[in-house]
Amino acid sequence: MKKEKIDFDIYEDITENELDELWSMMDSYTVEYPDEEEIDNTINELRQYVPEKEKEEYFIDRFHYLLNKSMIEISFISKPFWIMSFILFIMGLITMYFNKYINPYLLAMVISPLPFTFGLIEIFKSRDKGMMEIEMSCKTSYGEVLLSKLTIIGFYNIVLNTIFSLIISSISNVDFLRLTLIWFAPFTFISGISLWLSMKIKSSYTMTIIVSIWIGMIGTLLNTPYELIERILWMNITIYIGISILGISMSFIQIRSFIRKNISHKGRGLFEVNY
Amino acid sequence: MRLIIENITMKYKDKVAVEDFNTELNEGVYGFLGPNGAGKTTLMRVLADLLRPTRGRVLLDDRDISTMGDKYRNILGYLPQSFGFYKSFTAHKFLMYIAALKGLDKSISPDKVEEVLDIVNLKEHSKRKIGKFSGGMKQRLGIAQALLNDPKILILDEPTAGLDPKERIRFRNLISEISKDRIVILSTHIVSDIEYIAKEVILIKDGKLLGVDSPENILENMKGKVWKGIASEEEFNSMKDDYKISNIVRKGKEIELRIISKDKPPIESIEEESRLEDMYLYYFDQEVEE
Repeated sequence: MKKEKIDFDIYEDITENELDELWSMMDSYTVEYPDEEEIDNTINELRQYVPEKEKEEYFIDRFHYLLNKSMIEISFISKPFWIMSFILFIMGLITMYFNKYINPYLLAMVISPLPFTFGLIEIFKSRDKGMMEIEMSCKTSYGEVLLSKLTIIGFYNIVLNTIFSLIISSISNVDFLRLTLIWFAPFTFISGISLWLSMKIKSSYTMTIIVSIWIGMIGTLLNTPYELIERILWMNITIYIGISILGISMSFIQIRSFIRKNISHKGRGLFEVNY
Repeated sequence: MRLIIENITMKYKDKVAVEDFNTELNEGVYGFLGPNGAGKTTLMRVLADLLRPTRGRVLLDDRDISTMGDKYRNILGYLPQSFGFYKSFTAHKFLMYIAALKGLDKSISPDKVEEVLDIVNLKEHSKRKIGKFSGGMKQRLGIAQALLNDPKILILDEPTAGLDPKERIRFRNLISEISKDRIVILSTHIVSDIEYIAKEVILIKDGKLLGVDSPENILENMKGKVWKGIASEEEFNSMKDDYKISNIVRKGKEIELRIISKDKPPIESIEEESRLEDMYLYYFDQEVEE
């Protein structure tokens, strides 16, 4: 540490006698210690602020806790979300079954990110509908509610997409692994972007924006020469893996920042006020 | 049970919403009375542990509530000033949802939901969707959710907003009934909400505590400050800018006035018995909402 330069000139006015007096006074000066009772009271007062030693928590315990919370949330997620997502995949299968010329890879890619985007409305429902303050006053915090919904909707989408891929690969005799990577890449990437946007604006706006952009992009793609579509669908597998990693990272960053902001603070979120 | 608000200060950037607020509460109804923008909602959020104050702390039986976590949530019932609902939920489903979030046991939740629906007079509407509820019904449902866990500390921020006079009376009676073994904190700018039920009235203005006292003592302090007099049009015009007038009744050419003043007004007047709304006008210098 940098030492401060002492300016001895300021002591110029002090005489030798005064200095001696000061020394003798300092020598005889005693610091009065508080009595035992005062010390005990201070310790007891501060005890409540000492953070409790966190129990060693394994991933499986955390997962179990989140799963329990998610089970509660499942019954409160609106039926239209389950039905709409399911119908979307059924329509995809019907289209695939009756139109043999449709590219199964393209179909999986187009459909895969849409149900999660619909699910954003469910995930951010409490914030968008003004229920957040009530939920925050409950034992299960707003952050836990949101994370539980995210888990359920994410899981439901992965299951639906996987079943869809299994059925398609059995109908069209396509490579299951490639098909999985082709839907997984846009699914994770668009989920990441949607989560980022939903943290900033109303989820219904996010859904409208993302779905419009996605459909617009697909529409444009379909109007381009087929070789371009072929090129996208037959890119090197590592590119799909790269996009997936990017999407997962984006989602992970969003979730982590959300947890930091809303859950980690003494185990619960605090209300943010914009005055 | 003792809830101590100790030196609470809450700042948002350059605005001080609550400043050095100190008071102590125990079982009973407390009415936080103050005009809009006085800092009541901020204080309610601090008491509900939704906002961490810039300075100070809230102690429940000598424990800082910010360190209590779930233990505090278990005994807390909170109704925010403005809130929304999931409109597609029925009243019953909504309360079952909140019961789940409050950690109520599944086996007791349906009975508890029925009980609170009965308390707020919504039992016959339990299967109706909230989207079809009137503003008053939604407010009653909000009160119902706050009561679900049988809270020992009940914080109600402007609970009578949107309630019709009959519902307000019913609400007041309900609060009186349930206040026996709990601390009920009621924030309002409507005097009649707390006039008959508050054990103590806590006056708040510009984020600062103006005073705490029982309604009886407040009325006692107002003695000699409320006057009733008859004024002509000219007298009224000359007085209206200098005096706080709580009531004006035109009686032909004359005007009967209710005046709040430390000194006798310059018209023929007699001393009147004071009401809590006179006190509101005296301290807050604003029109009284009934």
